[in-house]
Amino acid sequence: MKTLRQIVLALTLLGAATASAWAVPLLASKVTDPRTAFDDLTIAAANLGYAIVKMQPVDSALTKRGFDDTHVRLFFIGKAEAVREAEEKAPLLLQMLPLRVVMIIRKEEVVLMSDDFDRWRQIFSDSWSVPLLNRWEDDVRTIFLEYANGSKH
Amino acid sequence: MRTLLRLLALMLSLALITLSGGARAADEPPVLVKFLPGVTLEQANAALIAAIVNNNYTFVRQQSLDARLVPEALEGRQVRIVYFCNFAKMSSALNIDVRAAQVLPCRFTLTEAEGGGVNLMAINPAWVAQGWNNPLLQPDCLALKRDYLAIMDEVAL
Repeated sequence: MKTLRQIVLALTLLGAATASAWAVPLLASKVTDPRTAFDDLTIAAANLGYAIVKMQPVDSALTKRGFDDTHVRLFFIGKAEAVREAEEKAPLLLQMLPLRVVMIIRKEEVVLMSDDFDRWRQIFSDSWSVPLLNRWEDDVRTIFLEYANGSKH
Repeated sequence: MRTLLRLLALMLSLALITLSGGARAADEPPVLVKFLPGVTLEQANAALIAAIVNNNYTFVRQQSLDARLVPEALEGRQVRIVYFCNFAKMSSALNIDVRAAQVLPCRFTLTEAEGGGVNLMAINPAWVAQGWNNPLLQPDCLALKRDYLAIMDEVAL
């Protein structure tokens, strides 16, 4: 019995270690309501020169068609300089623009999730793409930190 | 004891499924690309929207890459983004794993090629899913990739 428990524990730890090697998006979370979360995201993005170019209310799009509420909304943020730079230097990265922010609405908490930049760096590891991916990731990280800690107006 | 054995068997099964799924997904290209010779961006765009509908998806919207970032008159005309969706598939995927939102809504990017023709591109959802380590989601993403390829083939006809 004890041995079996040890095997299960070892497998669990192995699974956790393996999982940590897989993709992890940027995440930010705070206790708030969706309306305030949207406002805070908008301000945090604007402070870095990004605009929200589109909001996709996946939750209501699904519920009005009779599906379960997934509590997910999508936001696309962008800035013109990022587009121009990607067009010139790394056209395949245009696939990532405008940048996606997934909003997950929990009971009293609103979580933001980014795309996984590490995953993209694994494939687009050339000297043009990596600096762009790093910058976009830094921008999203800053936006998420500001969102989580409270936006500066 | 029996519960522990079941748990052990489940974990081993999941590990095997994950490993086999990972091996398959390792072959996935990150971006799906099809070159459409002899067509304009407008022609390719129209054919794409028709193919999306023919393959049981809903056309959501299209936009330039810099839409709402610059005045409309100054928007780039050489790149077009087309978003589309199948709501049943989207609901199913999100109920399995919320990270599926990273490939939603479905998207194609059309770019005018130098010297004529159009490149039709999409991020391969099966490649993205490879990073999630969720064997339950991988079949859906492989099916989604097949749909992408079917749409691309139809546009190229």
